[in-house]
Amino acid sequence: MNPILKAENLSHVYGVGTPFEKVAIDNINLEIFENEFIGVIGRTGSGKSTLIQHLNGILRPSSGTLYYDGEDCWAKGFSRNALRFNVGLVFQYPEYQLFEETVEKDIAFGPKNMGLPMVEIEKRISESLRFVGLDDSVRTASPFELSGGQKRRVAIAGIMAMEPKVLILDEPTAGLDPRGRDEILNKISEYRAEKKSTVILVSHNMEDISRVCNKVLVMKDSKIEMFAPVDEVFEHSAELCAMGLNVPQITRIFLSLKEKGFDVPSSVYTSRQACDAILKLTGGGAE
Amino acid sequence: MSSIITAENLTFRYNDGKDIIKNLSLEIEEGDFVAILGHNGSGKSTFAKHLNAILTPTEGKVTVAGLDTSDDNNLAAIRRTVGMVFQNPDNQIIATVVEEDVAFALENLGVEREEMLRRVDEALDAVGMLKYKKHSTTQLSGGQKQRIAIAGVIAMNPKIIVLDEPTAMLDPKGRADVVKTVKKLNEQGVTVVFITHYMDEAAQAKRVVVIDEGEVLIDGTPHYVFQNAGLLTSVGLDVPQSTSLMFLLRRYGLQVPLAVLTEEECISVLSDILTRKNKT
Repeated sequence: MNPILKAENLSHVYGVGTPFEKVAIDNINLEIFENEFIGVIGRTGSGKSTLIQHLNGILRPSSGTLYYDGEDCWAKGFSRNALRFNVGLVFQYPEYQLFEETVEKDIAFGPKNMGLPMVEIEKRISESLRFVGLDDSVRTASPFELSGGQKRRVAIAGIMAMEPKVLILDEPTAGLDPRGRDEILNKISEYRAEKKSTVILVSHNMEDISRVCNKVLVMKDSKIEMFAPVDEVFEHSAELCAMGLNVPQITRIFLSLKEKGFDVPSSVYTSRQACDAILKLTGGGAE
Repeated sequence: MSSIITAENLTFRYNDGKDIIKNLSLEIEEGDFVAILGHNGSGKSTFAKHLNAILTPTEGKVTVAGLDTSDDNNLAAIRRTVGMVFQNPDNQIIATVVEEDVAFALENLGVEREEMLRRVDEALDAVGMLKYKKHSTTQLSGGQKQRIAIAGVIAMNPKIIVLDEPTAMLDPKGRADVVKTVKKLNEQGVTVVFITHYMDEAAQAKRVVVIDEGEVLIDGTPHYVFQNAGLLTSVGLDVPQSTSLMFLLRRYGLQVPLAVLTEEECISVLSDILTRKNKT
């Protein structure tokens, strides 16, 4: 199987020749395949945002090559317009980017630019509203009448309506309460399952990532530090902690227990796993 | 200790809408650190806006430091008593240089220059941002901007600081820095009302009030509140992972405390269980 996205020696330098020159991503090599669900984590300034902005051609690499479906995205004759339809990017706080008079017009913006026929656009509006869990009745509402959480869903629906092969979301749950956070993550998972698309989720919250993603990409100082299945990455929880990442509370607790000499596993990241581990060590419970 | 904030049968609704706050009564002691928890739309921010008279009660009464918020003559005094910090750091920075931003309110109040310089330095020191005094505000991270916003508020020496989801838009480091700053201010005697939906932040307060549908659902110490995991989950909130672990362990017949909030507590409980096992 060929990767849908591939980065080869990809680097990006901001402000070349100025005192603010900064290497934001440094020689990145990466292969992303169809239907993968990848979580991207790293401290602020580690290069996450710069990396994902390369994946749909917003940023041009300073050096190296990005391939979409085997084609060099910056070669002559490559349609970067088409790339942006195929790789949909939902920015942080996307609700600030809503601009149309009605929800349906806002969602239709992308599909219209793709040149889709009206019948298809209509279908996609209904479908994407369903994907984000909004009722068809909000179609004619102004996006500005909606609650913050609803606005965010409309903005995500606008990208889903383009049915990108790869959907990238930058901190889609930032500022939401726990229930809103769970709902959005579930909706994204359902979308991926139904459309067989690839999803890349950037988050500070490792609990969120561990819950929905299959693989985790850890960025550190402009480089990829780890890129592996969730369980494998959590095997290195001590290193993640040392990198200043926000590992789940329960993971930190188990690390401390290990340091105290208890024979506990180090890749625990949910309270369920923690409970099972404790029961195993104490010889099971009474239920 | 006396109450510095009192809400008596507070009801609030916009013109024709439904009640956003329903007959809510609450007293907050001077020097306390109260976290207010609730999901989006629970009414917690609406309540916060009553504390410095951005909103005034439709029915009932709110007083801060003895001042009735419904009395327009009290407005200036209330705003000096209660400082507010909001969610979005970018919406709260006015000046281009850090020290000028912190001085903004003092200039408006006509504070003497020498006094102003001293208070700006003190405020920046209190939030750990003194060395950024001459920096451009545009180059700061979200967490640093929030601490500047807090400095601008404490430069006015308020008795109370109300923070409405101050960490919602910050990264983990920025969140931790803001919480640390707020705790320090509280230790120095400032009454803090901290609105959040992060359970780990609420767990660090002295008292937690959970608001749902405009009413107080549960009110007490963090340990007391987080014992009610089922209730919290039913209104769209969470409990810390350590607390849900204790619930699971109890279900399997292990004798563990109900609410375990901090890492240290949890480590000591689990160490005990594992040590006991090794001895038998």
